[in-house]
Amino acid sequence: MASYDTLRHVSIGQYVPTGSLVHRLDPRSKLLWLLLGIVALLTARGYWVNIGLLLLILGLVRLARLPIRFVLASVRPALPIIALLAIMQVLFYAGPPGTVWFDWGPVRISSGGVRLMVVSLLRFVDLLCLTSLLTNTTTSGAITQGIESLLRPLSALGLPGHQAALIVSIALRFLPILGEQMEAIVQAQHARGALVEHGRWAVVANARRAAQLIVPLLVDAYRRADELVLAMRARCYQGGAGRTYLVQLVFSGRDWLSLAAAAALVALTVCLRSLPIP
Amino acid sequence: MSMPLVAIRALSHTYLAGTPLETRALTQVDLTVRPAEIAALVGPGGAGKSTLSHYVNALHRPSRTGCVSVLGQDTASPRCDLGRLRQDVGLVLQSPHLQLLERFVGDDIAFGPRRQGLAGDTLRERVRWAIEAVGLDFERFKDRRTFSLSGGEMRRVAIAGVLATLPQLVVLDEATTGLDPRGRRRVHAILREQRASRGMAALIISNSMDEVAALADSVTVLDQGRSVLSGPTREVMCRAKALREIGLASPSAQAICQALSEGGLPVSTEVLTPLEAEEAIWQAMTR
Repeated sequence: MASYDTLRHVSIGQYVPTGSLVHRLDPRSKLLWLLLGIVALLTARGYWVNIGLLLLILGLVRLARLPIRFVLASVRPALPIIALLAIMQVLFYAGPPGTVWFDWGPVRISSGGVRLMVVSLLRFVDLLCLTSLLTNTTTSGAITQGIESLLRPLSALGLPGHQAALIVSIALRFLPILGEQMEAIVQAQHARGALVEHGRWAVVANARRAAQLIVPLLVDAYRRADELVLAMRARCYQGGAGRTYLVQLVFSGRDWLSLAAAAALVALTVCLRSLPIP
Repeated sequence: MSMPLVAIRALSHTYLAGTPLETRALTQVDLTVRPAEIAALVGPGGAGKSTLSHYVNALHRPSRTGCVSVLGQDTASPRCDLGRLRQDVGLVLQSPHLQLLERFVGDDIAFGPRRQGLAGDTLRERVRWAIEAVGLDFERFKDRRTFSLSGGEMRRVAIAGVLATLPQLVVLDEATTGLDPRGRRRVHAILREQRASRGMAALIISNSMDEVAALADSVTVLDQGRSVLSGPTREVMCRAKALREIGLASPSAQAICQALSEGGLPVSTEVLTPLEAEEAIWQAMTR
């Protein structure tokens, strides 16, 4: 099977139509869910509350009729950064230490550091899964429309709501494209024998070559962005003023219900902060 | 009969297997390329041509379904020498800018020969030959930055980089798309010349039926991941109706003869090239 499918598993930004209840929700309610979900994640303290939040998000993934493995794949590309952050937090944690297991100069490994690392890890995974869930269940057009609609009240203050919404949706749309592009570059370099697959020094040699992957990726990203601008101009794009939509957003009873559930979740995590839950 | 350079049997491939975005790209496909043969893969967009070509360079390797043998090596085997195989099988991808590795054109073309151990004057002469083979001026281009080249120039440099390793088999994935007619003719000429001088084989993937008719000895037609027609070029191209059904046009020389035949001129429609069409029309008119 393909050796290069890994980079195509960038689930953030890929719309997967399954026709589920989550898919049918108004994009504004899903965007507000994301916002309130982030508040709940930042408020939650301790292992158990964060594990509970992760289980809740995975429950929402099942409700959206998406495979959990697919959504969890969004964590994979971020693993090197997560691992680096985890190591830094364990080694250089400066808060209340709890039990200290190792202390040498600025490096101190303590139960407090390990706790922070695990909680941060869970938060990171939760955040990625929540973002992936939003983009897997909402088209980029609907996200743009939703953000624009939510930002409309701020247009009185001069905030360009439509442009901001468009930037967010294009950025999300570009993520899987860049993933695929990276895969194509890796393939091309393998085809010329530039990347080593086996051997003792494969990791070192490939790390040196990795820098050379970035240049064509950036060149291609700039080229795509430039072509997108030209295409938008050629199709008379002039910002959001006077723009109409084929589908009008309607906030229904189920959207209010889902928002009430999100608000209740935030309230619950705030209340749980005062309880001595590990 | 000599042993084939490429023998692919009953190969299937699925992208993103086990995810909601799972896509079947190939189903039970066969492909054979013999020494010194120019074989062609044609088919509508999304037919699986590029995926199949990646198996020839061992970028994809079969796991459960199918068998792929390239230059006598079973690519599924853990003992398959990938480095050696990729030196002997050159692959030019659809997007040439992705396979340029170095900052300067000369260094990029020298990348493959350097890995083969070439150095000094021999290396310089090989690079000069490869650059000039694709119609670029060595002195003017060797120090040009690769990302400052135009699309057509990048494509030529990518082809030169592959030819510079003197591969036994070259796979050109729509490599002449975007080249001007002169550049295209030059690539055709070098494929023929390399075949004649050292028996190099080629697998070309092209949407231009005229190019395939002029160049290829055999053709495999893919449609929706399945091999629907396969055989000598003339035999496949003469099945105009079958080609039309999957959205492919006949070579233009054949289409002209077909139109003349339907208009009442008793001209042979089994022609592939403009020269053959000219001959057939001349014969029909002087009969």
